[in-house]
Amino acid sequence: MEKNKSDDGLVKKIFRALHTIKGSGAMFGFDEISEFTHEVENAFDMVRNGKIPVTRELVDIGLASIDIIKLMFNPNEGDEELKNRKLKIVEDIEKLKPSTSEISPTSKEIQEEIKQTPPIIAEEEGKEFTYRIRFIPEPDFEERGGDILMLFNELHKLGTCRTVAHVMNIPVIEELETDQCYMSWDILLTTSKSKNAIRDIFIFVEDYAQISIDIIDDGSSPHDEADYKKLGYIMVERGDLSIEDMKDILASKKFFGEMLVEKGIVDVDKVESALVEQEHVRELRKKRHHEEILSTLRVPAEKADKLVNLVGELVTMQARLSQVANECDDPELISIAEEAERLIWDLRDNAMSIRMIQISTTFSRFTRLVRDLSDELQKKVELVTEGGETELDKTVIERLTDPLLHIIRNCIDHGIELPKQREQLGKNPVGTIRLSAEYSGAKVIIDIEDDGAGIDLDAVKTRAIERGLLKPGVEISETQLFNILFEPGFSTAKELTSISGRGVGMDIIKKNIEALRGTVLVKSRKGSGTRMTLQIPLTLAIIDGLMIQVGKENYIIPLSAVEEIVELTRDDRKKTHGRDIITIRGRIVPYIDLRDYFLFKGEKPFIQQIVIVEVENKKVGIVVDEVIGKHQTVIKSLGKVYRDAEGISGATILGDGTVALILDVTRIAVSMESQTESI
Amino acid sequence: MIDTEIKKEGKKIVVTIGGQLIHENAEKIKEVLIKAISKGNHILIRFGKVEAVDFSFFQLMCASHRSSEAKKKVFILDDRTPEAVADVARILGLYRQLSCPIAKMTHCFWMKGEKGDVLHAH
Repeated sequence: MEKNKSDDGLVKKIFRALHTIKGSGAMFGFDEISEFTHEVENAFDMVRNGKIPVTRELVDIGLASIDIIKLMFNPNEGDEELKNRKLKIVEDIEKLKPSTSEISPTSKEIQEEIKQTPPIIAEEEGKEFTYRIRFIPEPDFEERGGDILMLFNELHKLGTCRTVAHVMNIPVIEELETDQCYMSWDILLTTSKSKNAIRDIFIFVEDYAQISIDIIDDGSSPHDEADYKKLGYIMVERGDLSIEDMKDILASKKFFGEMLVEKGIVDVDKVESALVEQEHVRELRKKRHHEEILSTLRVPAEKADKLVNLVGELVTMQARLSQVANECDDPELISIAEEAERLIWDLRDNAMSIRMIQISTTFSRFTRLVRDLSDELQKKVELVTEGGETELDKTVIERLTDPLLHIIRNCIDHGIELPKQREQLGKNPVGTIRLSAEYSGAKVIIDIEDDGAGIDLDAVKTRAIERGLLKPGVEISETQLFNILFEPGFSTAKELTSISGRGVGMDIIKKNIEALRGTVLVKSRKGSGTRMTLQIPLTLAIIDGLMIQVGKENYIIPLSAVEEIVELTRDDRKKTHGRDIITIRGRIVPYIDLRDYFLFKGEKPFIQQIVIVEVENKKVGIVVDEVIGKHQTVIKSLGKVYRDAEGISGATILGDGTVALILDVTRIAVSMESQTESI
Repeated sequence: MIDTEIKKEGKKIVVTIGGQLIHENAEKIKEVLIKAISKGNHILIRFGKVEAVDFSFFQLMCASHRSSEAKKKVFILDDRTPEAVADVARILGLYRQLSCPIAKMTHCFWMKGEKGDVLHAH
C-alpha cells in the first residue's frame, strides 16, 4: 500500500476485511473487537471515499491495529497497556480526519491520482489488452475513399469490440449534407493484438481522421475483484471533462452522468461512451476473476501431505517390485515393474509439485519486519526481493522462515548503519537488504545481502582467540573465520540489544539450515556489506539418491551433492604416503573413508570408489566400497533417539525391506576438515 | 437503387424504405424523408427489402428524428428492423443506454430495453 498509494482496489480489499472482522466479531460476541475495528474501518472508509490520502501514518495505524486485534482475541490480554494502545489508535485515526473544507479532493490530488494510475507499458503478444480507440473522421471522410463500416468490421475481427457512436453533431435533416460525416466513435477493443496491429487497420485513413489508441486494461487483475475506474475519472482521463467540473458535480448528490448532461457540461454521447467503457472493463475483469477461481482448487494442506506420504510408500513398494521382478527374471514381470516405475515416478513428481509453494509467501512477511525494526533502530532500510516465484516444498518454506528472520534482523541491527553514518561514508542514507531466490539444480539458492558495515574479520579473530576458539598466531582461511561466527554464543557485538547480539542466532541459523539438508555460506567485505547464501534442497520428502555400500550396509548420498565418482586402489593410497588426498584433473581433493568414519572392522577392499561431493563450494571425497546406483529415496526421520547421530540425516526403506541410512555429507565434510586442521 | 413508398395509414405517414441504403443514395433518401416529415405529424419508417446499409442511413435517421422533434412531430422506426440493419447499427455503436437529449416526443431509436433490445415507440 505504501509503495502504490493510488491502489484503489487494495484499499477496498482492506476495508472489506475490516468490515468482515467487525461484523463477525459482533456476531460472536467479541464486542470490543467489533467496536475497535469499526474505528479502523472508518479510517479506511475515508481513504476509500477519497477524503484522506494513503500516508505512512495510515499504514502505521493499519499495522498496529492488526496486532491489537490479534491480542484482543486472547482474554488474558485485556490489560491496561492494550487499552492504552487501542486509545492511541483511535486518537491517531481522529487526527487523520480532515477538516470540512478538506473533504473534497483537491484538483492536485485528483490529477495526482490519475497520474499515479499504474502505467501500462507495453503489449505482450498472446496477452489480452483492452484498447480505447477514439476515431474522429473528417466530414469528407467517405468522399475521400474512407469506408467506416469496413474499418469497424476489421476491428471486430481482432477481438471483442464495443463501439459507441457520437451522434450529437448530426444536424436536422434539412441542413444535413449527405456527403458529410457528422459522427465520431469511441471503440473498446479487447484483443491479444498489439497497438501497431490496430494502427495498421487505420493506416490508409490516417490523413483524414483523428485516431488515438490507448491501453486501458492490460489483462492482469491487480486484485481479486472486478473493479474499474469511476465514471468521472474515465472522462477526465479522456479529456472530456475538467477536474473542476467533476468536483462541482460530485458536490451535488445526483447521479454523476445525469448531472453532467443536465448541466450541459458534457454531451450525452460522451457519458454514454464512458459508461460503456466502465461496463466493458468491469465485465471483462469479472469474467477473468471468475475464470481464475474456476481454474484453481483449494485443498487442505494435510490432504496434500497425506498424498505425498502415500506416494512415498508407493515408491518404496515399487523398489521392492523391481527387485523381485529382477530376481524372478521373468520378462513379463520385469516389463510390468518398469511400467509401474515410470507411472510412479510421474505420480511422485506431480504429487510433489502440489506441495510446492512460492517463496514470495515468506518474503512478503519480512516487509513488515524490516519496516518495524528499522523504525525502532532509527535506521532507513529498504527490502528488495527478487525471485519470489521460486517454488519450494511447503515444509521447507515453513522451516526456512526462522533462519531468514534471524539473518534479516542481524542485517538491520549489525549490518546497516545509521543514516547519518551512511551519509558520512558516502553511502545512500537508505540501506538495502536484497533477498533473492533462484533455482540451482535440485536446490534453491537464497541470497540475503546487505550494503551495510560488513563483518570485521580482525574483530572476529580477536574474539575467537579470547574465547579459545583459535590459538594465537595460527593462520586460518577467511572461510574458516566466517565459520567461527556460527559457533554457539559467538558474537563480536559490543552491546546486547533486544534484537540481536547475544550470539544465539547464528548457530541456530546454521543448525536449522543443516536440518533442511542445506548449507550456509558467508561472504563479507568490511565497509561494503555482507552476503549470506543458503543452499536449500527443493524438497525433504522424496529425493534422488545414490546408493552406495560399505561392508554389508547400504547408504544413500543425496544425488544433488554428487559431482563424480572415481576409483581408489590400495596402490593409489600408497602413492600419497597415508595422506587422504587424491589428485583429480590437477586439483587436490581430500577424502574421508566411510569405513573409518563409521568404525567398520575388517580389511578394506583392494578397489574402492570415491564419491566426489561438493560442500560449501569445496570438493571432498567420500570413500565407499561399492556404488550400487541411483535410488528413489523416500526420506524417513530417524526419530528422537538417533536425531543427533553425526553424519546421518535420515533413513530410507529399500525394496527388500532393509533400512539404508542417508548420509549428511555436509557434516561428514566438516568433521573431515576439523580432523585435517587438528593434524 | 432504393425502393421507397410513402403512404398514409390513418393518421400516420408510413415510409417504406428498402434497397441499397448507402452513401451513394443518401441524397435520394433525404428527399423522401423530408417529404414524409412535411406530410404529417406522425411518421413511421418501415423497412422493405434492405440490400445494403451504411452509416449515412443512420445519420439520416437521426437527422430526421431531430427535425421531427424540432417540429414537435413523432418520428419512429418500425418494430421489425431487419437483422441486416440491426447488425450494422450494432457494429457502428448506435445502440445505447442513455437517450439522446433532443428526444422529447419519442424515445431515441437506439435506446436499449431491459433485455438489450432496441426500444421503439408505437
